[in-house]
Amino acid sequence: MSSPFPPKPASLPPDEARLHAFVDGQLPPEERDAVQAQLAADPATAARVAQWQAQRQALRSLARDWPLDETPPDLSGIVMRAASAQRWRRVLPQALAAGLLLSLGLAGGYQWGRHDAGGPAWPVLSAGRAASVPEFARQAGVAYAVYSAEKRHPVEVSAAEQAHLVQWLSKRLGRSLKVPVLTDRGYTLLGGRLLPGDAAQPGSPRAQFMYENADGDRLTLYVAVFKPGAVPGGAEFRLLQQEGRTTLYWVDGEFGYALSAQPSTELHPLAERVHEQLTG
Amino acid sequence: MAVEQLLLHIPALRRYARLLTGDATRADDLVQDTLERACRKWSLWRPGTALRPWLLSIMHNLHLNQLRDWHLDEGHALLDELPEAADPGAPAGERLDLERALAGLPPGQRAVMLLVAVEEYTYAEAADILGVPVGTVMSRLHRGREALRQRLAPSPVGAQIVTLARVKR
Repeated sequence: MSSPFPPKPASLPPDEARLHAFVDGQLPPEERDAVQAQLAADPATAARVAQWQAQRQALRSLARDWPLDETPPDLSGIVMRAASAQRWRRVLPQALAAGLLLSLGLAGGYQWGRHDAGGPAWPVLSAGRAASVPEFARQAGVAYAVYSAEKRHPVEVSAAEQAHLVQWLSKRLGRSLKVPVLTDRGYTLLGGRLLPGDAAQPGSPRAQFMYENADGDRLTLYVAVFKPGAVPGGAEFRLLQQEGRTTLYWVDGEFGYALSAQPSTELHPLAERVHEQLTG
Repeated sequence: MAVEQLLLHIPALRRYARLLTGDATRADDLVQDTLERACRKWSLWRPGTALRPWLLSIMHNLHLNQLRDWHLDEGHALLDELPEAADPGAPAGERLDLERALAGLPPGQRAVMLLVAVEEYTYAEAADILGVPVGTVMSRLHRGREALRQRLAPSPVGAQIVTLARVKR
């Protein structure tokens, strides 16, 4: 590495280097004892070393006691934007396919355009879809990946306004919704948000409820309302594994439900709790 | 690995940058540049290695570049720019003396003093962060400590000469 400063001559004599290592606690015990003996016999050097030690202490308290105000938002903002971009890079193709960008309004604040102006179009995952997995289950998984990672805005309407939340989502979905309680399983409701539905079926919004347990693990319940004739078959519980998440989904009448969480989460008991509350 | 973990290091980086630059505003500018570069170069950080030394190394490179741009010679110009103790929460005299003395050191010496004394890195780690040989770390540390000693505790003229003679040996 080139230095802007003129090269300095002469390396430090070993004796001096040892004294510094003594001050900085970087000597093995036997050498430390030797230095102590040396200093006991040499008051001038001992005084110098004592000053170095005092200096070291003073520097440390200078750093420690320097009043530090709260981290300015523009500093943390740099990291948050990068984190959001990193997250998006992982889920963006799927999020695009699921139309989630509409609801986010690119709230993450990351300027994709600048990076990719003139670049190739984003890959859309529709090509690889297995026909057997209904579209709502895939989207549930994608929505989980996008929003469960949100630190600041995991939900649009918080659980504190639960009555309002349920009313609002029910109105938008055109059906009266119920919010299952999972506190006996350790999960409390954080809130919910309204999501766009299948691009092939305009006006088919979806609801997402988010829960969190004491460890901060998040769980989402995704609710789809199907139009007559568009109800996917199969009423049993089915499992969908996607990268970094697991979704358990089922269809009940005109509703599709999907529970998504990290792969390590035991979804079946939770799904049964949800199922019995929704049908009971 | 998630880039969010940088958030945990911001307070420490700010403190460090303040001592390095001697100025709160310039320190936050330096932290901002450091974070931006760290985010851009995130893929270069090897998970499993300590994050802080990597960040400090980025910060030091940026700091040196800035000094180069400002044509500051050995950092002595900083002494004139240091704010006087005007604000009500001003540090006590000793503290202020130490800050001024620290700011008066050449940046390379100041960096070594901070890495070794405040951050408690070994000489080899400090050398790694600064991208210089260990011998350079040792001689900077020595010159820095002696300079602070002279500035903070002015000794009788005779003693000073003796000490200088020893240093130049």
